[in-house]
Amino acid sequence: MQYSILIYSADGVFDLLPQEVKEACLQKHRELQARLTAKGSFATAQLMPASSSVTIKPVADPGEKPLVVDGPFSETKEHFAGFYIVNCDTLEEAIEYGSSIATPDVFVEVRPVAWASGILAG
Amino acid sequence: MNAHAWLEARFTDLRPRAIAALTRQFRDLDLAEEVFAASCLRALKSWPENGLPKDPLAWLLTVARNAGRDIIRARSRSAVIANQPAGSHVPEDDYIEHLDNDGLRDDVLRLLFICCHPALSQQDQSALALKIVTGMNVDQIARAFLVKPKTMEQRITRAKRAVAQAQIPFETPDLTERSRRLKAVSLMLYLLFNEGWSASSGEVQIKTPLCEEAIRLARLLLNLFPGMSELMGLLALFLFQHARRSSRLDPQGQLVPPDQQDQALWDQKLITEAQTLLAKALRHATPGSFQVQAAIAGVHCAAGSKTDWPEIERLYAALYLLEPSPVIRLNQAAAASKVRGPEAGLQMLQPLEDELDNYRWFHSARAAFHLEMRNYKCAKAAYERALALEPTKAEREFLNRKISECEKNF
Repeated sequence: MQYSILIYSADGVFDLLPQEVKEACLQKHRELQARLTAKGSFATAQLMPASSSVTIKPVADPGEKPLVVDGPFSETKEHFAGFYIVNCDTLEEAIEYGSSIATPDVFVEVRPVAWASGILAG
Repeated sequence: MNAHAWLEARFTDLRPRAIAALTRQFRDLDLAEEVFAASCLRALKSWPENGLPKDPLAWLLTVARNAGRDIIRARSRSAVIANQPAGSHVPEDDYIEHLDNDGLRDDVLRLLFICCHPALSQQDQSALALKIVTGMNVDQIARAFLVKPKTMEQRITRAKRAVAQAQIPFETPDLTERSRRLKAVSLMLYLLFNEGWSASSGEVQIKTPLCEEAIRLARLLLNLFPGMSELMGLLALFLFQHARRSSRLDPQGQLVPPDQQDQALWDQKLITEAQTLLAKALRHATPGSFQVQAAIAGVHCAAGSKTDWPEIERLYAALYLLEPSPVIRLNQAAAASKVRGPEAGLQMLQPLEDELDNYRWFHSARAAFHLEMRNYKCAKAAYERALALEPTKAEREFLNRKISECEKNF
């Protein structure tokens, strides 16, 4: 069963951390990626800051040209920052992966994947 | 994991918005800084115990506002405090859930605009913004500007006094006023970045912290005003430049031209972000000086060994239309010489001679054209003229090398 592990964080806070704290945080991700590599296939990506995004607004009817506006979809303090897609036998396993990359500054959402395709090439 | 470090980073991130909102409320920069510090101190105790509040900024503001009211009441026990009703305290758990985002963005813009007071020198404007808005301490700012802490402290105190008397209205600005403020603040950030990027006359070429803070503030402004194409251009420009910070100087501290830099040292993440920002800006079809400058910096960041000089020449020509200054023409001439040879460059420089006679880059560009045309005597004379115009240490060494190169060919 595939689970997504979705990471939400406040843009900019990570950059303000001392180098050794940043490094400790990245190390957790490297360790998780090593474990997932040993286990089989997985996908992961880190996203650019939300200010680099555009949002395509919903269209009233399918023939209409959508309106593209600058900035992220949500005005919340935390933005979608990155994700993992992993194969897990149980929900507990997925929660354990998500917990292993938890820091005081991120929310990690674990949600099962309904359907997947494609490859995130490096 | 060091919990304090995470909280400190959070406070630093929230500081510009918090100080802006508090300045609006209390109309007093010193008080705003004081009560923000007090609320962070309180958070250091409360957050690790009770968990991160749902809206950390709203929490800090509530605590800071209460602290501010207490201070004002204590200061004027008997006096009637205008517009500051001594209401009952809002309990911390009951903080305002919804901040007014539109109001907040104008508050941050106003705070930065206050720092752009015309009575202050450009450097003092930046120093004040770093102190108040980003929360750098005086020692850090002094180090970044390469002056003594004592000197910087005096300058900031003086600057604060000057802006305290400035009457910047607290009403929501109309469109024209908002765009005027955005322009002034963008220019301040541009100059702050340039101060870090090319020390005008010092021994250190790159004052990285200044660049980083300029980037942070540009990001903040873009977050608050996500549809402003010139802000996208400004941030893209900073990121393109900053991406090449590790390859600009060789191990001897000499400047390396972009087309000879080690591209493996470039920060591709920043370059990609900048390219996207620029692409976003272009969608608006409202060209501006920062966007064009970013486009030029972007051409220098393009992968591969050959720089697209015809494109750079076109972009400088476009920039000259937006901003007809002799320095831009000088850059256009440099690009023209790469496309059509040094004669073309020299020809473009001719009409600039009077205006740019005290600008060392004018003379070093002229020298480079002469050198390329093997006019070694003219080249040497021009390099010497540049040398007389207070170059930085790295530039001085570069010019001296060029002068001996000319002499060898006499």
